[in-house]
Amino acid sequence: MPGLFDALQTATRGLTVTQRSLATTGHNIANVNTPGYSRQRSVVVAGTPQPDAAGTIGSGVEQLTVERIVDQFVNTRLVSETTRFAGLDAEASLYREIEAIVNDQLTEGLSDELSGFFDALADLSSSTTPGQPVERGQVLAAGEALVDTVHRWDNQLRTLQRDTDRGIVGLIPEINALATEIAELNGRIAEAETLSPANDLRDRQDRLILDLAERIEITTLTTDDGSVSVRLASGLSLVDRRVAGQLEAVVDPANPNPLDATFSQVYYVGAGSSFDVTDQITGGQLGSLVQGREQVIAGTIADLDAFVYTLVDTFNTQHRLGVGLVDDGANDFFADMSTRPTIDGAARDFSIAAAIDPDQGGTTSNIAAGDRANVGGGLPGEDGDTEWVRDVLAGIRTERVTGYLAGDVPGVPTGNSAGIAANLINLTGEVGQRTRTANRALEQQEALLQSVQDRRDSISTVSIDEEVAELVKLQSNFQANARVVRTVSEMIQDLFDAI
Amino acid sequence: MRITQSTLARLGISQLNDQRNRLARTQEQAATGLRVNRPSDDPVDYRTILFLKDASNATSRYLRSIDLARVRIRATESALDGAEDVMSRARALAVSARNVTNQGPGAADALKTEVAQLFDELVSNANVRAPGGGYVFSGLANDTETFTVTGDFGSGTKPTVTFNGEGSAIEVEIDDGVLIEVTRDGAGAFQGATDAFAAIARLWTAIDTGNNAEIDGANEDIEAARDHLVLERTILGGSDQKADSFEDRLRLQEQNIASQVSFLEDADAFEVYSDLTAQETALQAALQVNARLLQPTLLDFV
Repeated sequence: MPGLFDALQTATRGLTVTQRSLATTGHNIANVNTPGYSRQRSVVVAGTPQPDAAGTIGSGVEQLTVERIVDQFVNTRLVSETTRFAGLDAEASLYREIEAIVNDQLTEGLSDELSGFFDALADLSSSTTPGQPVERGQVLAAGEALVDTVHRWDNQLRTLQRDTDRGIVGLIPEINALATEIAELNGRIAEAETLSPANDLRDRQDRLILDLAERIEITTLTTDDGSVSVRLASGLSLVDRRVAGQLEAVVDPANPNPLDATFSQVYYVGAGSSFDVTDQITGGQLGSLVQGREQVIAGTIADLDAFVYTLVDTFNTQHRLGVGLVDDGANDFFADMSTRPTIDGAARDFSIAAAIDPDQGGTTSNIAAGDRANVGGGLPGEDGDTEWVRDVLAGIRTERVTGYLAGDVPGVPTGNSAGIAANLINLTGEVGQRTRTANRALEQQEALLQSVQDRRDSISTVSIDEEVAELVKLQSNFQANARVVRTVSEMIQDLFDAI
Repeated sequence: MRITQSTLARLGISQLNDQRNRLARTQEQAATGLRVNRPSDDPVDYRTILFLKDASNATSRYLRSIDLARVRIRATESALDGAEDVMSRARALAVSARNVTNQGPGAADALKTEVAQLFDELVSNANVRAPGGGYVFSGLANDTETFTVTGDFGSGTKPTVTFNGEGSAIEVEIDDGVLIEVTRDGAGAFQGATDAFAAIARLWTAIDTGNNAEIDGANEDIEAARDHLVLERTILGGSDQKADSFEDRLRLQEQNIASQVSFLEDADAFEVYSDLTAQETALQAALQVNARLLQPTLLDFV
């Protein structure tokens, strides 16, 4: 049969449990602003009762554990949506940078220079004296301005590509550090959880996984001992319990382009082997940067190459049919590029032909202003067959020609038939369209990520209101328990007094 | 749904961020006055705008061509005018040259000198150069002197005139595929149906020999040559009119394109400013609401 001391013990246990719960509440309040913190709750049950013939009397309260309020499903969703958001964010900023480079709307862009070049040709054709150097000089200057603008675009795009490559190289140590930290934390969690749930360590684990997911697409699997295995989207194991795999940025020896030699491939370094996984990297910032470097930026550069090659090829073909002031054979206006294996790099190598460019020992007299077929006696082109410039050279601007596409072989264009100016408008318009799509996708993903974050918040974050209510509750609980102690103590005193 | 302080804080911040983004976009439109500031603002309209600007460039190029064309038309016209005038005066001389032998000694010589001067005047009109240097009547070969004269009236060999130019009229494009002739073919104009130089030379010879029948024949030739020059000038006048009408049309087109571009790319000022005001007010409201919402907790009331 339970005695007074049992009641005292029940009350004392009540006080202890209340204090422990108070500590948990205090912990929650202290962490109200800690990112990734999940609120904790002390789980209490009624103590194991002592059977008694006259009716079972309880043995007070008992604290089972302190649990962390999380929803694993929501956390998993948060990981995948974070990856997607970080990827789209990186992609959209890349597109915005490309767009700023090729924006023809506000700045004096390539469209203006192209227009200026054909204006100069038209002036040459309406000139009363095509033999004079003034109009020829203008054609050369306009041609040089066109070349310079193409080079500026090409340079800026290539700089962006190199910076993207540096971004890739910079992300890899971050990924490795996170993987190492997760593996190390796995060990500590497994150790701690032999006693009780390691709530705060698990919060840190979630936080690290989220950080990692921003950088690269991963799948995770939590094992019984609380450690987590992380795999890359391709299935390669990045963290297996306490062992972390590593990625490494290796300068690509196979990259054929000497200017781009700094480009790095991503290698996976696992148990004793190391191999190239660049093509398998998807998602997150790293995935977007790799894709941006190899497809988005490279694609825009290739489109610019195609535009330039189409212009050079069409214009030179006609220019060769004409004669300048002196007939020293067929001359190109732009440096010939027809002997290269593909049209890649055409924008970078775009230049005025040596025969025309005074800096390379040429002369503007070689700018064709007359049709070779029409030249009769006398010095060819001396009298200026200006109609030819008008009908043929300046006409190229609007004439529809079969354009080249990225990667085409010189002489074998595979594009659509379109005017030169239209080709350029399509190039920048396409970038605008893609930028808009990327921006839209980012906005939508942001909304989606936000709704998942809302759900996580609603489940796991600390509410001051709740905690304060809990404080009030615990305080009165503590007071009541203390009152029981006092009552028991008074009763014992009464007994002593009776003796 | 359970709403906590951090939910409210995060939501508040992201809403404020959205509003500031919108405000920044409106501000950009107000500052540049443009609705389309970059391709992605409106990819479809962006392309249309660039195509229109391209067309506008072509239009201003044609307008410049018309200005230059007019210079050459004027030069050609005034040369033809001068030549016509020479022919008229030659006719008057031909009339007074009839029976010149009865007019006393020296009369024939005076007339012959005058006719020879008219001949030189005609040659100089036919060899006129446009401002900038090219020979107007030399066709494509406009660096070559149009006519050369061999012989002269004083010597035994009568002057003959040879055409050295190229036999075509220069054409200038004043709109897509529309060409106008800004000069005339020198051989056609001066030596076409009737050779104007030969006609005057014939008059000189007729006066020299005092042959009235020949003077009448020369007079007919001169009249025919004059009529032909008038016709040539009329044709050129047609080019001039065509240039005028195309100039009007191109100016109108330039305005139309400009207003179309402005319609597509310009921001509606009234809309932008009212948007700006509305968004500013909304932002201020959101700031106040958030500041209030984030403050109180149960703690304030316990």
